[in-house]
Amino acid sequence: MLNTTKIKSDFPIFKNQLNLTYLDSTATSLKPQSVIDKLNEYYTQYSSNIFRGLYPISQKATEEHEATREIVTKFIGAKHPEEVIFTKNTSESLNLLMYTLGDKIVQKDDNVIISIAEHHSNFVPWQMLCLKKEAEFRVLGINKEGTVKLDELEQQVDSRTKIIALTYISNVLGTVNPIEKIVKIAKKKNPNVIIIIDAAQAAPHLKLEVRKLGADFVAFSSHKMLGPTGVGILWGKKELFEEMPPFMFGGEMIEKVSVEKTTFDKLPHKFEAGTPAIGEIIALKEAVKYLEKIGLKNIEKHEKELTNYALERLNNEFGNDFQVIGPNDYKLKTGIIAFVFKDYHPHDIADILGNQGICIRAGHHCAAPLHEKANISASSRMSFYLYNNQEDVEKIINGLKKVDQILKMGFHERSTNSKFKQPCC
Amino acid sequence: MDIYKEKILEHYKKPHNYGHLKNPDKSNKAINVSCGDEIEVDLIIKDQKVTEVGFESKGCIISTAMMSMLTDYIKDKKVNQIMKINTKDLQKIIGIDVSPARLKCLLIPLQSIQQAISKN
Repeated sequence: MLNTTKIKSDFPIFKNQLNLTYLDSTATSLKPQSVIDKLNEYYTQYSSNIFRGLYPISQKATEEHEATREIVTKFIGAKHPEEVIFTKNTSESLNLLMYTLGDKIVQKDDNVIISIAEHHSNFVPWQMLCLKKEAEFRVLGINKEGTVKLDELEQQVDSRTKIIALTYISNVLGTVNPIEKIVKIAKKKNPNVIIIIDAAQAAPHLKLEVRKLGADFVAFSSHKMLGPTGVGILWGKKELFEEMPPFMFGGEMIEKVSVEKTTFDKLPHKFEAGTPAIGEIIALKEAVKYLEKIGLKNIEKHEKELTNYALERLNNEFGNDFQVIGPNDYKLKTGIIAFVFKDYHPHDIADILGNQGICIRAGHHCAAPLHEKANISASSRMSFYLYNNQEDVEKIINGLKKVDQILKMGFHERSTNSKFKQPCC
Repeated sequence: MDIYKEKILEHYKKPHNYGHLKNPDKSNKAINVSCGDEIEVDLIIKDQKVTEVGFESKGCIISTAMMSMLTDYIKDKKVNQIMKINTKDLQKIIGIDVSPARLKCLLIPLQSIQQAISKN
């Protein structure tokens, strides 16, 4: 396992929040000092706009900004820096694709395929596009292992399938879709289908190799991988980006503007209208450096070991009172454990744990269709990252015991005649 | 927010006015889709006053305790008074400051009752 004492010392929040047990990295990760320092460096030393400033601090800011693009290109195994577009977040990256590519290629009676386990940001845009275009919205189910049903995928892809948009790692189940296999099956049935991968939960936790995956576009966010908020990354194949119309119009994205007409700049600028989150993009490179220093393979291994420990301890301690959403097997999961604890309301669990300094998430985690399918309205979710350790697991176990002490003998347990049944997964 | 408060836990564990009424004048079901809370409420209204109230629900500590206290509070009150109850009043009745994220848990009990009254 990783040396979490050393790692925690790199994250200043642990010095400022002495009793912090942070188990919500799936929502957003904590930030190391090096990222915060870099952000500070930009604002205190060369704060200026990029690209067109003819003075040294602007040139410095431009160099730093573009250096991040280079580093991200290498980090994800991409070939050309111009294939890496900076957006606001994963949602914006996916919306960019829907408004530019989707709107252009999806027509009446075509279809778009997604899965029931998608985050709303990879669900709603495609649902809206299909409604607008009178196209068919096809939703793949998931198997017992918590991944996309491949036989269903094979059946559903046909000559009218224009887009397949799937998550790499489910933000609820923590399961990993076999993207390479999915791409092979889909492209065999329809070589023209565009495949879009939501890698928001993958990029921070495993080695992302965009070209190896075989997909056409991959989207993820800086803030979930130790970087600042306000920065999303969209990688895509150059030839596809070149054919697409711009997403937003405005500064930086034009080549020539006259009263009669406007032509657009080359990649990546064509898709980066307006002043970006300069300091945040500059600081993202420190997050990538940090992750590379620790090693994505080591991070993946650490999370798997910790998930194994956590599931074993939680199952032993609480038995059937603790129900994992999706597979209860660490081999099939990354460090995400969504759960139902007795019949206690997830908001009460999160609130009582919160009062003990333990941060988890409660609700449908922006994956309402998946919860509906599991016949539950909400769940609680703990998630691990490189700074978490067995001590954190023990803290949440003690925390859940306290939840039980406070809430037990609630009226739910005694009103067995009530038509309101306990949640079940 | 102190959801450990004895009074709130008592109401959560033994909610007052729990159970449906026979032959209610008004009934309503309110749902909070984002967290799955459901409240079914029955009212008996005489001379523009709520004389009896009963409910069954599935929900968190806050919404259950709030509904328990609110059903006590509205008894023998005029419907037009009940229609004027607002978030501030709810905070006073429950006796705690609720964080913005959980304001909905306070509001759904009130909505269930006000919607019942508004029904024809």
